[in-house]
Amino acid sequence: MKGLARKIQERMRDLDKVASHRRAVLYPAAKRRAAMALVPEWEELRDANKKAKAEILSDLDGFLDRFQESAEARGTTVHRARNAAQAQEKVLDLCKAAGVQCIVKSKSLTMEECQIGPKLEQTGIELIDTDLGERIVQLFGEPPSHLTAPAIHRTREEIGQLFYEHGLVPKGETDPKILTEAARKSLRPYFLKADLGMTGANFLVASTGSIIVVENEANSILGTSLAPFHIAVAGIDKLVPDIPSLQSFLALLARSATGQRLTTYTTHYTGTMGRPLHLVLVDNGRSSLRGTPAEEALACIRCGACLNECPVYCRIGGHSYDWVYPGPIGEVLGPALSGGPRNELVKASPLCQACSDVCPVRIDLARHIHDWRLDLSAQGQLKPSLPSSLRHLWGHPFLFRAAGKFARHLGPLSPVLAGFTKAGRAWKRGGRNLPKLPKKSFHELLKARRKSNPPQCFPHSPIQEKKEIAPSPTPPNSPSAPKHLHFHDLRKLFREALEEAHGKILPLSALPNQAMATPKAMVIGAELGKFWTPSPSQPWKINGCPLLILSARHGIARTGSLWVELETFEERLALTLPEEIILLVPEDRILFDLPQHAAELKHLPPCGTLLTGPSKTADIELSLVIGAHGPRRMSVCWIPSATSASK
Amino acid sequence: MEDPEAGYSTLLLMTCATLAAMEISLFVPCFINQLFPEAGMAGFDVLERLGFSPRVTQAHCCGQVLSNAGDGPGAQALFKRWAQQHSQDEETVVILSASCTEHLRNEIEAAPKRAQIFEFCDFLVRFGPESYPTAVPKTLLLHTSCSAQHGRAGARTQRSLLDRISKLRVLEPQGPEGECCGFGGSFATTFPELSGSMGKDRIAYLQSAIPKKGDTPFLTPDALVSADLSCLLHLGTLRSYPGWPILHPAQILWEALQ
Repeated sequence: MKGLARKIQERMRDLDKVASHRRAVLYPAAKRRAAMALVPEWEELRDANKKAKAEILSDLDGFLDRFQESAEARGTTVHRARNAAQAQEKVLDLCKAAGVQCIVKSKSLTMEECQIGPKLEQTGIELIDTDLGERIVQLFGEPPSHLTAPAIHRTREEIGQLFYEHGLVPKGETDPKILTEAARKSLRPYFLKADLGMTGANFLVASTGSIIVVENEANSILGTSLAPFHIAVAGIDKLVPDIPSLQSFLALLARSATGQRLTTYTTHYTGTMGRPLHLVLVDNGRSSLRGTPAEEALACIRCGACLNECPVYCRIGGHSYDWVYPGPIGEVLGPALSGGPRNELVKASPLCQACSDVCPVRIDLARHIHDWRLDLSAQGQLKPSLPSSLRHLWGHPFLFRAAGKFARHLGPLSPVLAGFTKAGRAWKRGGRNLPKLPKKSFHELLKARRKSNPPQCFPHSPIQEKKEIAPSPTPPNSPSAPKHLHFHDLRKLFREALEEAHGKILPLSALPNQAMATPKAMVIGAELGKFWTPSPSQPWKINGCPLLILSARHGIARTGSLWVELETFEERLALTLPEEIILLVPEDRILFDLPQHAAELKHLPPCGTLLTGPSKTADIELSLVIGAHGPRRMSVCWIPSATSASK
Repeated sequence: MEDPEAGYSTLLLMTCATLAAMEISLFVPCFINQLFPEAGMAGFDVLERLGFSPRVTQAHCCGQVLSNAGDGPGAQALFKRWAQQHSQDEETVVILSASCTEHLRNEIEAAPKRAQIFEFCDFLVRFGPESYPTAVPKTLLLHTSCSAQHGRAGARTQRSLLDRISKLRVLEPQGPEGECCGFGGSFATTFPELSGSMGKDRIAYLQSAIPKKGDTPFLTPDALVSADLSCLLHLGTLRSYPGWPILHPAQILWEALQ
């Protein structure tokens, strides 16, 4: 017990740090609220998510087999690891067999959980974390402190000093833009030389075998597109039934995490493209949750909303939890996946239910935290958090009332005496005085009243039926795709959403005459009288290329996203390596919403991404910087529907 | 109170449609019994004045304190005692604390006999009068507890109830929902510094609802009010507490029934 309590006590000594951390964390919480206000069907989406995950959990083994079958049919090799050690071993074996020297790794909580990175580094493999936040904590030599913002506990001054010590910036540099730029410059060579790209997975789609990776910076897709080998590591809890059910998760994941309509890149890896793709599916205790009430915690999509909303997390910071999963979700998963010292995490909650309210998959986190306390104490693995004397007092009404009476007799002396008890001392440590007692208790007052004033007989009105209990107001119904939205309206909606994601609309007349373009875009260009040069296939030739033109299948108005199919590695590089990209989209192919997009996806290419704006990051004090690892500028150009692209 | 009979019949006339001679009982939780007896009395008097003739039970505690501290058997024993006191089927129990109501609601779901339970404000919003005879020209600062805000005890009913009293001004912070005050039962003593710091932030949040000097109208709160006095026990004992008197909505209603 001392561990966590002492850690929190020490943390609370530096109130400035507590306050600045709280301010930082409340920022994405506010963004989430603003995003939520624009989605009237929010509650229905939460229900849909909960239902989809319940379906998975009702037949987890069946869905795992179905996923493996579909994934292997598309060339992905699936490995299963029972625990962290097996996962480490699997990855290590694969690396050894391929002679891997240098790995570029994007964010993966499951890898962090299984400590795969340190294991690889021990064998002399160079492992580079490429997500800016992860890179920062890697250089600091510490674990991430938040599910989606790993370096949220660090200030720009600390990061500036760190980068200075690593020779990336001059001394005293604190501008997030310059620091991000320095990280981009220093990491690009690793991308170009790495022989393995490692990623996590946000979702695994059972029906198609797709691995979905969601990111803002482009580091993940860049790593998997440049390196000749891709290994993804994911927990078995990442499954979703199919592409249509995936959409309601996507609709809430980014909005819950950062308030974005959609993350910049939502990449669907569905099978191989001539280079090996391996997936390590990790159990590591997850199955042990099955059949228990806490099973629904396996539905978690790691958005971090419960952390941002938690009054405890926002003050004590992720490192106080001393585990990869901090905050309310960590408290629920801790005893299940880790046990031992993580059991006491369930105490770090006032059970205020703020977490349960925001969870996009409707996990009742507060209830599970409460249930864990009872279960763990019943098993003798956790000491109840009140001293046994006080619990006895509470448990015996007679004693409790007698003690109250005695204390009232003592008058002003009782708070003084209570101050010597353990609970009393703790109460005072919180900056509080012990409460003064009233002269009489409620029951004593009532008794005295009844003696002096026997109950009066009030006139009764005739017995009437109880008023019907008003049902709680139902949330407004969802605006399913507006039926008669003209494509001008869709374009307007699209523009708003795209500009919010820092992308631009480019008029047809502003298309350059000279540029590089992908083969598909060149065909469209030729019809428009533009004769662009083909994009080179060698990475070093595209690297730093000022402008590249690509094409996209369709746009999604409500999120400002484009569905870009990447059938060759050249296309993947063309999307991620240039400084600026322009995407050509047939103007009659704007869909309203994600469900409509899902209906359009009849055949999934081996790689495709939902692209929403230029690459970006907010890993330094949550200040937004456009241009992380991918393009710094991104614009969309509507192409007249007469061109071949729309056919 | 010169002519209680007359006042009472006016009131009956006003609300006869909604006033049922319901058989109800009033549960005054352990800490209100010991620390806020006036709130308990006000709750009792208001219900009696409105014609509900509540039976006050001897039940001691719903078990929430022990349950939250992780003492399952202790909490179960207390809940069993509580349920024995309220064993009549379909009995309506009015509870003078939102968080206890929520705890009981969860426990009762698992129990064989289901008493109908209501938090005090929730009960009066549903079954009480639409208006009250006496104006209360006071300014109150309102604390909405987590149970009332996130839980199932009846969302924000205390505000709806207070809004039925004429001339009463209620100050409530605007903007995003407030954070937990940091009480949380045993949480307050397990992590005292954290709990205290959360309390201070909650007070600052409440203060943001008070108009600043120079604002019109310039109001200072006459009291801090909440349907969860346990939060106010914690906030009110903080050494930095601004000293507002602490009241339960029942105490304001009692004034409105004079």
